[in-house]
Amino acid sequence: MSDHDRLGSRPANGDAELERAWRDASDEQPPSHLDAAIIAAARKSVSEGGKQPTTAPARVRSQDWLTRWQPLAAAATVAGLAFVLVQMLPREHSGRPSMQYEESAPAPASAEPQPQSSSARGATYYGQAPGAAGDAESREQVAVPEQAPSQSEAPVPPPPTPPATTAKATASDAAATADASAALGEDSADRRQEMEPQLTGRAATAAAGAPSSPARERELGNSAPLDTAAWASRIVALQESGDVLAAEDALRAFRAAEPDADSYLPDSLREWARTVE
Amino acid sequence: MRAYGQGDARAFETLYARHKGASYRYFLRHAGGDTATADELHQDLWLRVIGARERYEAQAKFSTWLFTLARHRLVDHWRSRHGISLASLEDDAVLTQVEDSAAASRDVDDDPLHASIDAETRRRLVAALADVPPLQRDAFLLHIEGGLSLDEIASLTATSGETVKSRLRYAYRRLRATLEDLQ
Repeated sequence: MSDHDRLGSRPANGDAELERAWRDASDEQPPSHLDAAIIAAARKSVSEGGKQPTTAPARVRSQDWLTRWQPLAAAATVAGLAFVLVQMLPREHSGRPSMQYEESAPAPASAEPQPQSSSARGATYYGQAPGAAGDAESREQVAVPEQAPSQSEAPVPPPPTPPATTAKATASDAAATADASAALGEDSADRRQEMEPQLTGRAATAAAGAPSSPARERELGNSAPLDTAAWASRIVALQESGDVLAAEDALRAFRAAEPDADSYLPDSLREWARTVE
Repeated sequence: MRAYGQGDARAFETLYARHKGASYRYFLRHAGGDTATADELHQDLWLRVIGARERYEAQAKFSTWLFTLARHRLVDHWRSRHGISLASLEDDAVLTQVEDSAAASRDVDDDPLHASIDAETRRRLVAALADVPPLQRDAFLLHIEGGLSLDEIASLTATSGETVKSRLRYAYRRLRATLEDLQ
């Protein structure tokens, strides 16, 4: 019988004699001190509930603590940085809503169609001011940069008090329109509202080089009688500002209201008045 | 082992008394009779058994599980001491290295047991097994000391049954030749 046949699928029966001889010869046992140590370790494991005294659990707890708190600490840091950034940004944001508000604000209901120039747009900013001093201040900050190029673009030199021609009786406009108010004498709001569209319209007409319309002259003629001194002062102011056409219109309106209007004008303007039909 | 897992320390003592000799000799033969190495490997093995007390699941014979652990520990030992992986044991050069290591250990073997009447037989058999290549020796020890069947050895070593059969046949032939010389 060959080795292969004897081992076959049952190697345990392969060579009984050899196996018996091997078992007789091979009977070494572990030393007793090793047995004692192993059994002691087994008993200790049972008495401690299977937990072996190693330093591993401490490391695991430490890693667990880091794993648990590291994301929270990172999130808190990010939140803190975001808060600081938000606290640093308000000065940039405070101007933007005003800009959007001004750009999207509708034209004032009482205003006539304005010239689509930058100066006209700038004027509407003042006209939309609700009157609060703080808001007016913020709008001035925004409107000023837009007025600067408008002055260079305007074909006609602006009057000495440009805000006066566009003001809508707001607190912030009061100072800017002081000169015009003084020229008008009586500073009633109704009169200013009546005159400002006229002035604005005249400025636009002058810029376009178009003649004044008879309808406006009629309107001016039908307006309530004014103080002759105020008329004269206003005409003088317009003449000095260089707005000759507006001064002529004002003179015609003055004549319509007061037939002897020329006599109220200063001597320096009487020569010019004679040229105005 | 299940009883020990439930906290019965005496069950472990019974288990240990039943298997300690086989596991110890398994290491001792692979170590070429080097008792220090056998002691170290034996202790590591049983500490692993103790550590696995609560998660042990009886899916096979305890001896199969025990010698699976023992073989893993032996492979770790080969790798750490000799830089030899299990797969490389098929190479002749590596076999020579392992056998030289075993022979060196045999030279210092002065176990008092060998002084008995059967000392010559024992010495010849042990020496013959030490000359068997490691994988053949491993199959023989798993069979003769662990009591594992051919299929269990094949499963444990992740090889085919034919390969195990071949390894066993080679080991038996070498040992039988030694035994015949004694007779």
